[in-house]
Amino acid sequence: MGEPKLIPKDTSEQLLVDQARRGSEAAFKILFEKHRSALFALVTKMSRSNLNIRDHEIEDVIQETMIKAWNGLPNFRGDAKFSTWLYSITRNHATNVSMKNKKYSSTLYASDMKDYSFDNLMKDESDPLTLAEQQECRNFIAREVKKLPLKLQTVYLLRERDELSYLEISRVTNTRLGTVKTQIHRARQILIYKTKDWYCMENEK
Amino acid sequence: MKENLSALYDGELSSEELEPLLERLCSDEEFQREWKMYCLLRSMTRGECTNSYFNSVLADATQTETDDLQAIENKPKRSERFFSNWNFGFTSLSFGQGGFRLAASVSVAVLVGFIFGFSFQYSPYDPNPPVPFIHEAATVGATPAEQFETDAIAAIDESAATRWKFKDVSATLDREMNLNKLLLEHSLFSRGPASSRHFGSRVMLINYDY
Repeated sequence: MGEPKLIPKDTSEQLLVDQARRGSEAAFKILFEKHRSALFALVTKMSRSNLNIRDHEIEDVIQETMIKAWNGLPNFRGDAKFSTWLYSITRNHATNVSMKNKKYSSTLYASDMKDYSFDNLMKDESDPLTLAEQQECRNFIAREVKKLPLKLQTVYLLRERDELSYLEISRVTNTRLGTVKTQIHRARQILIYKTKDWYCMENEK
Repeated sequence: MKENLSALYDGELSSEELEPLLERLCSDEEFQREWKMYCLLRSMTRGECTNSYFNSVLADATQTETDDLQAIENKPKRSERFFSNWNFGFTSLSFGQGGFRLAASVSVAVLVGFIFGFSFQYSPYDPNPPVPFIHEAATVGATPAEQFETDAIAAIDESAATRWKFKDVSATLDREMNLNKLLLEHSLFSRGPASSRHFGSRVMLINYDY
């Protein structure tokens, strides 16, 4: 039996973009969700680099960005990647919110304004609080991955950490492609369960 | 199906499976929640997850689960659904079809009452059994007194023996038989006008005596 014909990685994203441009709100939400984590990281870093956005406003900024992106979708020509387009909308919107907040605050001076380009922000490692938060989540997942059965652990890390394709994983582990698919899914199910559990326990404290 | 969703998230789905799954993902909320969790896991694994993102995704996911549980708890139980669907004909009390429904409902109620009454009265586990119905029936009618007494005592013995054969309740049985004999003597002694015996019940006989 031959290996199934796989499609290039970005095809699903491109199909979702096409559907969203044709007016599918659901397709847009799915697409947005895929990049939401990076957008949160971006706004969080901006807010903690002396930008006038408080922590509790971050989610609002993301929601508003989503609405702006949805409204501006007809203008997305597809020259750039969808993620790049989203980041630029987010950065501009976060800066606007910060400028509005500045009117009510006297603590922000022109000298405080940094270069908020996406690349600079992502390289910026000077914010210890964000780093600590990210490290806490990473440590939790690392602990839980270690508890997985060895086969699941291996395929999950090869996929998520090393970003290998299913085909590459199947060659490395000498496993069938279908089995790799099943094992990755199984690992995710266990980790989702553990994460929800952790969240509930933390909230009960 | 969720296995395919996981593969879709990795961009590893075969072309023939892609479009139907994308359609399902766009319309199915459960799939969308699963998708969000995949995004969260990846973000956590790669060390990109901030607290605000983590809380935003999980608050939503756990709230939905709580709502689902609440919906299951609020769903009417099977018996409640049965009664609400059938109404037992009491919703319409008009003549014609409604009248038929009422009659049917009454019949069902009588039947259920009879069955429950019967099973209650003849329960072999009842520690204080009531005076059996058969004793009352034995007093009914214009049977000659001697024949009546013999038949009735035989009936009492048979009935009691049948009912208590699974259990050692000799004390209760003795008490019951004594009570029934007293009742019979009472009924024989109090033979009065035929009309009272035609409708004869123990209650009527007792009323007649006093």
